[in-house]
Amino acid sequence: MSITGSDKHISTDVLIIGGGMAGLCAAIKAKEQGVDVTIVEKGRAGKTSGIQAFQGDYKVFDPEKGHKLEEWLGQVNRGGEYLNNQEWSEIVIRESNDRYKELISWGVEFYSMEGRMPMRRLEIMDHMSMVKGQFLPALRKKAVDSGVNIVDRIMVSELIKQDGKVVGAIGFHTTSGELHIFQAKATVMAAGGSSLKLGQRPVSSWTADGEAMAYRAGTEISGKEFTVAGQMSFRPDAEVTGKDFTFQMSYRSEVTPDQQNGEASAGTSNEVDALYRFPRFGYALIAPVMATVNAEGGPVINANWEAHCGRIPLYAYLENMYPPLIDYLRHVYRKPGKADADEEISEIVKSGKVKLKLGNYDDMVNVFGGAGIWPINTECASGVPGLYAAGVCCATMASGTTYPGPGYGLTHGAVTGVRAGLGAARYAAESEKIPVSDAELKRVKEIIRAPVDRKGGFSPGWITQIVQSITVPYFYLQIKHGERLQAALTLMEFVNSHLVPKIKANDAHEWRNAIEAKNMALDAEMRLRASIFRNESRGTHFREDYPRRDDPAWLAWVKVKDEKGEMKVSKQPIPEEWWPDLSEPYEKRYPRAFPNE
Amino acid sequence: MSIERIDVDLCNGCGACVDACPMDVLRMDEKGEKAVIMYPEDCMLCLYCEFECPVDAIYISPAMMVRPILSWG
Repeated sequence: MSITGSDKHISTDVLIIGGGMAGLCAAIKAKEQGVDVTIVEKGRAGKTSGIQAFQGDYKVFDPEKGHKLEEWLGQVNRGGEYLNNQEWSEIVIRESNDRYKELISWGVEFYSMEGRMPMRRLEIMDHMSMVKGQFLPALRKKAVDSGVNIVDRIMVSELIKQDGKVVGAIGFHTTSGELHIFQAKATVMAAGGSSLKLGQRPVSSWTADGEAMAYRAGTEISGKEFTVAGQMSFRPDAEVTGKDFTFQMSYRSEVTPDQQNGEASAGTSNEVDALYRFPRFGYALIAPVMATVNAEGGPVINANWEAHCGRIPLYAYLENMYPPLIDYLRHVYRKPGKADADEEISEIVKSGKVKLKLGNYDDMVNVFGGAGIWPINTECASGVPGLYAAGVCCATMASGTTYPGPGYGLTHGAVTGVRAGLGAARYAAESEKIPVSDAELKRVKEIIRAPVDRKGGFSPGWITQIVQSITVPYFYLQIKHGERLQAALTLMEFVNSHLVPKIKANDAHEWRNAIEAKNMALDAEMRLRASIFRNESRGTHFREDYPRRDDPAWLAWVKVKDEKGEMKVSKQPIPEEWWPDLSEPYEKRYPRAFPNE
Repeated sequence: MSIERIDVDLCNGCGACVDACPMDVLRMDEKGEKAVIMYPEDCMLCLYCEFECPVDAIYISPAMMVRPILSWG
């Protein structure tokens, strides 16, 4: 395509990349400090965020309700298998209530989940829920009313650097292709999470854009070897007797009375919990899955192990579902004015005749609050001056090896959003605007325009498929083995060095897909390298060749960083005061066993 | 196939579905009167467009479209 017209230049004090929970909170908070704020979003801010898929669950820690910090932290620590940053976990829990009150004052509506959350048998942390479809538009309205400038449908693809500092970003409009050059004193990266565009959960817009841009700008990235790993998918041709369903589910072992008290133990039963969604109501069902993940751990690993051993097909029976889940689903997925469908789903579920064949992959989403840009302080600074990170792309490690439970991600988004917004506003107030040199502008323009300036090349859709084919089959990143990871890495290195530089886009929509494919390919290489480096098993990271946790050698985080064009992997030990009690037997420290352990 | 059809008789051209689409699948037509499915291959079956549509003009199949890996183009 030909890009005509002049570039658009936008100057601001604080640039926020991403208009979801974290980005909007950061923007509103930064604006309160009296600086100019601009949000740029590849979709529409306050509308298209990936978190739309995740209900609106929100943790509210309230000592007046009898909540105990050590109990809440205990749940996060156990679920995170001691790889959570306990300072951050405590910040997220403690500040959840302030953010909750603040969100209400910003126009967000909440409702209580009391009696509606069926998985409480495994869940200690209490939570509320925001009203789906209401809270993000409310935050957008609050941002606009506060004077925040919002620029929608701009795919930002590269950070602009000057004198070693991040001083803005470059993007293009996904319809017109017009280049947008943002110059800012401080930038907050809040560009969402990392999935591999599989669509099992509708978060295909999470293509690791934030961490990819930050990586290229020189920050450290962490948490790439873990996923939320909460579910599996069903093929459309699965043995579904219910009409019009698509399904998502988790795999769990039988719950013993001990487990109900939060003491999980291992099991390889074929019994499964089926969690489903009903297209007319929409949205992936996530929250109950997470509750099971935390206490029971690695459901996807267990199911994949069954498949790995040839014990397939695996079936799920809806009649095995925990009964209150049905009411919960009906509550969550109802759409106003569609009572007929509400009745329909109820009848199908009540009939208990839905039998499902499991698919073979999940959507490989990295952990919310446990993967992405490594913050060097509790202000969410990235380590590269001028760049802050918030939300799902900020690796505070408040979570650890897996997701602690429903609501934690959005709470983390609000908490880190506000902290990054404050940090960026402070930095901007103390800084002068640095002019961007012609050489730097030329550099980023060449990078961003490469897919449209090329005469021919590989389609973004094909590159995406290639990346998926090297990462998605269960035997690469779910049942991991050093040899297979190494083989996949060899292929991914080829993809990144040889195919990605030759991606061709034919229009502005495909241009966005081209940038996303490039970011996903980088994401995939980071996942593989981190997985090879961590030669133990822990949480959602299972190595067939190292099926045990390795304490204390691997009470450590894996960090990935670009060094002169080479992807370097390093280890950062976790402070000893956060270690589990090593005098306890291994089995007591880690109640959940890995397959073959 | 994921998003299948927008009923042109029902569509009132409000653009709510276009705003709601995270994947840039939907666009307004050239006259700006009706929403059209421009890039169905990128639909991720999130159903936000259906959720937002005030007149129930959008039909979405529950089956996810999986593209075969055939060609580089």
